[in-house]
Order: sequence, then structure tokens, then C-alpha cells
Amino acid sequence: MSETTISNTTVSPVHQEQDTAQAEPSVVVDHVSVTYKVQLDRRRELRRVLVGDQSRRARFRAVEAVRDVSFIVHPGEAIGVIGHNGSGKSTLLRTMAGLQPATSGRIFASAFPVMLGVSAALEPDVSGHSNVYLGGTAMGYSRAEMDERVDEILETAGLTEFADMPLRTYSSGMKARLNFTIATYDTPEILLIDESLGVGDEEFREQSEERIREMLDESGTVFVVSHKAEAIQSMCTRVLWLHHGQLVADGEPGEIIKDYKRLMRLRRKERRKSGPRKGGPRKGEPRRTGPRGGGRRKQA
Amino acid sequence: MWPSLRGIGARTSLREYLRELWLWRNFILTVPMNELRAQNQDTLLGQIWHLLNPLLLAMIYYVIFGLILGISRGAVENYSAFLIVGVIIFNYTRTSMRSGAKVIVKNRKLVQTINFPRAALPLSTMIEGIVSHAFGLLAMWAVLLLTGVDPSIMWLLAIPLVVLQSIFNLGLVLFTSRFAFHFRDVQNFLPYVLRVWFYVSGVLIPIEARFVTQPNARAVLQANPIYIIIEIARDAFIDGTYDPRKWWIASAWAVGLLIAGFLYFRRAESEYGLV
Repeated sequence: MSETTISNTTVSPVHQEQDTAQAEPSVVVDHVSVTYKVQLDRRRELRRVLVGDQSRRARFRAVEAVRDVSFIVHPGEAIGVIGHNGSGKSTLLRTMAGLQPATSGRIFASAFPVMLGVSAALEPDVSGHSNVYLGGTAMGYSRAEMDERVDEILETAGLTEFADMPLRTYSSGMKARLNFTIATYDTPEILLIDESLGVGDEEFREQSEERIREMLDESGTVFVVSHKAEAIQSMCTRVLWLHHGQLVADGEPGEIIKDYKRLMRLRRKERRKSGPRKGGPRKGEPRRTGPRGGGRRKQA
Repeated sequence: MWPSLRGIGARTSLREYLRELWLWRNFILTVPMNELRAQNQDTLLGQIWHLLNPLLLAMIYYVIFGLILGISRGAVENYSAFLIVGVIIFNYTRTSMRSGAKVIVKNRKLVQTINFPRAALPLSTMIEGIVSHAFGLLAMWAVLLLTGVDPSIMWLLAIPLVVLQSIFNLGLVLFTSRFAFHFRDVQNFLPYVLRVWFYVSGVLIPIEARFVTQPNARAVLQANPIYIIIEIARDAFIDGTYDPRKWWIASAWAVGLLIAGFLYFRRAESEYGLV
């Protein structure tokens, strides 16, 4: 395997210590870029295929969501990923989870990184009890395994007495608790969390942070994507800062988050000066406007 | 350098992929069961609709083609029986393909957040189809008995026939689901394709010399795999016979479609998350 070079980064002393140890890394991201081909107009698509493709350039725009990002992570690290909207945080996470292909570069991991959350698998019209099975089997567990844990999951989520009610009657906090509890029953070796902190009430937030710390103690690796700098500061041992898809800082949270906040303040000020802007992404601010439309499953 | 690391997003071997599908077997079964349960939950008649739907469908065709247009008179002995078998068999393939066209888009959130072998989705479509088809077959047998068809031991051929048609459908669903992932247009034009296919599959009118006089046209129509499956069903359920030749041809179609469909579907495996 080629040597992975980390460019453009501030490597913290803590991090260097870990690197010098012989411990095997849990995730290696090697010069990964992700470029979306965004379709600007989805109409008359089939005709284009049948007739030929003269107007291709007008209909597609390449959006470089992640540009040449490299880093190495070891077990036990809690990585916070920060960056403005559309900086490529979620794309990076989804690519690491193997949910979408990298345009170039390679990713290696000691286990399959798992995105937190099974809410997408849940069915609003059936009971919470049945949904525990749905969520669990979506993660690849067998029904027998779920038989063993269903009661415990419902209890941990505080939903035992609502087990027979259809999921659509649950409050958003209840749904978030169920989702989180199913997804974190087992500790995945590598866990990816995308903005899901801050759902539910204060008590649940504490509970979930607690659980994430527990998982860290079990020597897992956790990635948290958020633009809430506070949540990251309190939990993470290392921060990756993405800016327009590029990794601009990698190291201890303290300094980086300070810089990040300063930049955000500057940007806010600048925006106020230039007056209210009309909708649409700012120049050089890639925003994923992937194909939309079609029947979307009602989200739990 | 680090032997225990594995590539993410790299394509797995066929064996590994099939093993993963097997690991997700409970998911493949759980999804359609909940889907079916959720379907008619708020209706007054509830799960009875699974039986009523095919019956009503057959009744409409019976009234229009049997009574109003009078195809039954002299042309086909026991037209109701002829009709219901065709309608139920064709309907299985039709509903499978229509849900196949939707399955990736409908489960967009799932595909974007959870890593599982994507062929699990078309497979769960197939399971859902089998369950509702079972209700369809019950409705069909009820009509057959009412119209004076004698039950025969050949009715047991329903089991291999369902297996055969399910494999056939799965092959088609694997095709349509990937095709509809690239082109949402499929959801719009598929109903028309299916309608044309319905009319040329001898569901309403037998493909015989009396109705299709051109011999070449007849040969083409008779080569239609779904027509062959319908014929197998009519032989078994109405006449109590079976023709090994038809079984062989239909099986070849089913297996061929499944292999081709699976290879086609899997080639886009890592892209479905972009839906």
C-alpha cells in the first residue's frame, strides 16, 4: 500500500503519539475525492438516451464535494468532522460507510463503518415492537437475535408501554430514542454519526452522549459530523475541518474549533454587510442538489 | 502494511455477495410482512382485501369480455375459468414489476444510510408478491370450483409453478429496479408496456388459429414466456394435465432471466446510495 500523506494539516502532539505506536489504524482514507454529477434538468431524460446525447454538457454539472482528503484514524479516537453547510462532511461519511463510491482514492477500514440510525428502515404504520425487528434485521441481525434483545431495547428507549402502538403515533423524541437504541445496542467497531445529536430532549441527549463515550471506551472509533462546535468539543479527541471539500485542519479540538468559530463569525458578518442574499448557493459553495422527486418513503 | 484492513466500496466476490444476502435473509422477510400488514390497516375490510382485489379484477373482465362482448359464446368452453387463471397469473408478474420499478426509489433513505446487499430489496419485493399471489390463487380456485371445474391432483402443480414464476419475476424485477434507478421515466411508461403485454399474452382471447389467423404472428405470440406460464396454469388447474415441453421452456426463461437480471443489477451495487 502506498504511503498516505496528510497534507495541509495541523497534527496535534496527542495524535502523533498515537501514530508512533504500532497499533493498527481503524480507518485509512487515502486521497479520496467525490465528485457528483448533478443533473440540472431531469426531464426528457429517456428521449435523450434514445435520440443521442448532444446536450449533455448543459444538463450536468460536476460538483466536487470532497477533494483529495487523506487521514489515518486509530481505535479509541473520537473524530469530530466540522465545516460549513455543503463542505462535504456528510458525503465523506457516506463514502466511508461504503454507501456511495469515491470518484478517486481509496478507503480501508478494520471493519465495516456503520452509520448510526435505522430510522429509514422503520415503518410508520406498524408497532414499535415490530419496528425493533425491522431496524435490527436491516442491520443484518437475525430474528432470533432480535427476539433476545427486543424487550431490552424497548426498555432502554423507555417505550415498553408504547410497544404496541404504531410508530406514527410516537413523538419525534420517542422515535429518536428508538432509533438510537436499536442502532447502538451493539458497539460497532467504527461508528459514524451524522448530525443526529441534539435530537430529543436534554435527558436523551445526555443519555446518548453517555452511550457514545461508552462505545469509545470499548475501543471503538467514532466519527461525529455536526456543525454544533460545542457537541464536538465535549466529546471528540480530534477534529477534522472540511472547507469546500478540502481537509484544512486535522488535530486537537481546542484550537481548531476556535479558528472555525472565528471563521463562521467572519462569514456571518460578511453576509450581513453584503445584504440579504437571494436563495441559491453562493459562488464556490457546493451544495448537493442530487436527483430528487419520486415517491419518498414517509420518514419515521 | 496493515493486513487486517479491507477496502471500503470495493466490489465483493459473487460468493461473498450471496453470503451477505443470506445474512440479511431475515430483513428480506421482515420488510414485506410489515408492508403487507401496513397496506390495508385502516380499511374496514382489512386483510380481506388481499382476496377481494383479484376477485374484483376477474369480475370486471368477465362482465366486459364474457357478458358484454360475448367472447365466451361457443369460442371458449368455461370462459370464466379460462379468464380468471390468465388474470391471476398475469397479475402476479404485473404487480411484481410495478413494485420492482419503485423499490429503490421508495427505499431511498434506507439505501442512503444503511449498508446491506442491495439485491435484498428486489428480493423482498418478490416475497411480498408471493404472499399476495397466494391470496390470488385462493380466489382463483374459488372461482374455478364455482364454475364447475373439478379439483384435480394437478392443482398441486401450483407449488412448482409459483416457484417457477417467482424466479421469472425476480429476474424481471432485478432488471426493472436498476433500470428505474437510472431512469425514473420507467415508472411512467411501465404501465403501458404491461398493458400491451397483457393484451398479447392470451389472457382474454386464446391464441389459436380461429383468432390469430396469421401463422407467423401466432408463433411469435406463443413464444411469449408469460403466455407459456399462463398455458401451464390453465393445463394444470382447468384441464388437469401438464406438458413437460412447456415446463422446460418456461424454466429456461426463468433461470436465464434471473441470471441476467442479477448480473445487471449487481453491476450498479455501489451506486444505489446515490439515488
